[in-house]
Amino acid sequence: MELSNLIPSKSDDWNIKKGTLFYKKLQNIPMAKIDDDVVYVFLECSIPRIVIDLVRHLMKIGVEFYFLPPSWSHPATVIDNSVVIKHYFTSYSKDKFFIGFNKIGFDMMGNLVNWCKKEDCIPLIKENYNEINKRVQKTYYDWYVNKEVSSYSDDIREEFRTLYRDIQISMIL
Amino acid sequence: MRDRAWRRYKQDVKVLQRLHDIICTYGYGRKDENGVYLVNPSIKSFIGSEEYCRFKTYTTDKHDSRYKTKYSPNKKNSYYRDNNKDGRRELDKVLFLKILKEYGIK
Repeated sequence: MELSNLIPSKSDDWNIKKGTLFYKKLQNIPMAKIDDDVVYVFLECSIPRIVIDLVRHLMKIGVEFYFLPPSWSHPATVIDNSVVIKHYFTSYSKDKFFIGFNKIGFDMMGNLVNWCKKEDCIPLIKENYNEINKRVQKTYYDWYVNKEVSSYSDDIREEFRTLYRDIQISMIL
Repeated sequence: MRDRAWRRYKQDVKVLQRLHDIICTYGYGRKDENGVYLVNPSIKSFIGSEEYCRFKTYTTDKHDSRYKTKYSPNKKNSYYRDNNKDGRRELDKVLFLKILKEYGIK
């Protein structure tokens, strides 16, 4: 497998340097790397549309891929599996990724479970889920409209309420 | 050629310039789009942020660009213009025409 096969479009913005696939938007942003025939996509929240395009392409060509936080593209980063799981959840709670992944039919939580099985860190899912779910379900009272409001949309909050059940089903399957 | 690619390039130059200007104001650090707190934020950490989207527009409310005296020979409204200043395009043109007339070319 080569990195050049992972490029989803004919755009000149994509380039490969030192074993990493980059996308140029003002500066080169690391997008993917290959390690032991497994593709690791850097889940960059600043360019969600490009990440969704890349994921769609990877699903199309049928390769095994997982996500990593963009900070892991730096060689000096301290490796911590908990950070990856938290980044999965935080990205999924963002509007653009939530709508985009549902639109292309990508099962992000299934991907997370597969990565945790590979790295043998399934117990970390529960604690990170609780942390992010608490943030998502948080509401505050808006005195101007006289009702409880949240910074997350209703669809995301509904999804997060039953998300751990979906993860458990994915674990069994 | 001032095509779409050129306009995109010029927009990027402008956005980079504006981002450079505000980076120094984040002395206490900043959270990027991925939720990572950075003590010394770089331009990369601003991509996709609210500031980045705001800086992409060409419109400005600054005095030096909004109320700038712009020269155009087709402009109907007259306005005061100091022609004694150097580096004026129209003044150069007047001088050039004078020289041409002296030599009988025009």
